[in-house]
Amino acid sequence: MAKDKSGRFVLKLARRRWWIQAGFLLVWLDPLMLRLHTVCAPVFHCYSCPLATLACPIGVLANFSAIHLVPLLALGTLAVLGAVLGSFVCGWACPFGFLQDLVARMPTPKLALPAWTGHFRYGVLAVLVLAIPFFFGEGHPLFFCRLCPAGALEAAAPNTARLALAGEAIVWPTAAKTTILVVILGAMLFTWRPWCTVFCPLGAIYGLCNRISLLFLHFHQDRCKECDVCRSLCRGGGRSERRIDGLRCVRCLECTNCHAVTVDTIWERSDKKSSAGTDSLPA
Amino acid sequence: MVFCSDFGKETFMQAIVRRAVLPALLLIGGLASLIYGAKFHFASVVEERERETTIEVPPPFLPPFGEASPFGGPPFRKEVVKEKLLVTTAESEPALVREVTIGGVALTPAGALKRTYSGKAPSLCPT
Repeated sequence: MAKDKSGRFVLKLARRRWWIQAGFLLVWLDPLMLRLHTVCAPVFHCYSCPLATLACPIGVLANFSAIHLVPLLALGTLAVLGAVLGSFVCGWACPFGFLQDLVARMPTPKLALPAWTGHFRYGVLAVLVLAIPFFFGEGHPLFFCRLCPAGALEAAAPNTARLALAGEAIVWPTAAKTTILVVILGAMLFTWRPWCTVFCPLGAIYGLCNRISLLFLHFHQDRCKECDVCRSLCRGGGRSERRIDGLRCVRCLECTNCHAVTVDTIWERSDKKSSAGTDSLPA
Repeated sequence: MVFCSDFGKETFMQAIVRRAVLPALLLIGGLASLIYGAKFHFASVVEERERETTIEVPPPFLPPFGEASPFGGPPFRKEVVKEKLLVTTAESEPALVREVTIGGVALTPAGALKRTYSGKAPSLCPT
């Protein structure tokens, strides 16, 4: 009974994901003009955005790598949230992910990217965010923030517009940054969350945490009828966390429309009838 | 109480380690990192500051006996000079997080951290 109630709650929550994402947008976009840039946000949002409340964790990782310091605040934030939520942050809180979800609503043909493309994210994290700043400094053209599309959209574009309106000398974003932004925006029309699934270094970190987080998507093998409804519901092309590319899952909870997939913690009460895939201990 | 396992083939111990021990370790490590970073992590940052000093410049020619002359020596000219000082301050990690968002610190070839601006801080990241 408790599991059915929690399942219905999760379904209700999944239907309201848009509202929750929009609500988080009000947090990241500094409604009180606080500018708390001493604090790391857990989401991908450029700190140079005129409305940014908090500091971008990837920007902090990259810049601290450039100055050869360990970013304990950023790592601590990512570790705490990753340990508890995994990539729920990606699917429910991230503003750049929200943008991609909005653009994906447009009625254009959508292509499914192969699962192996998700490994590019680890290359972006290791090379552009960590290695290049560490060895070459933040002035290198391949320094992550110089290529970041979120930075181009949320910071460079508004700054350019502000300079133009003020009649000052316009500082244009670099050609590389602009090109990457245009490509990603275009890709958003034809595939679901292209940035998240292929390039996002923050999603790479949270994706790793999916395998060990306290909250996780639980696939009940005993309830599965091999109907592949979960695969058709999953926009990421996965089958919840049955497949190894659970690393790419953003936990949007679309797959929980199938009763074989639930959101659980490791301590869950369940009927013995449905526990064919579980280990039981005496009560 | 039943412990959930993601996959039927995973043993009980594997499930416990993966879904309880590892996240607990990560959570504790993350909290420790946050507390240490916020309260105890500092780094030395060198910044250039200008200081104005008033000096007395002697006249170009001193009469015989200098100031001991019965007529007294000519007055020393006071001049204000600006001198650059290198000052090292200990910056906390939260302050450094804010500084890197505006490109306010850089690594020198010698491996020291240097503030990239003097006076008013820039408002945007240089990237």
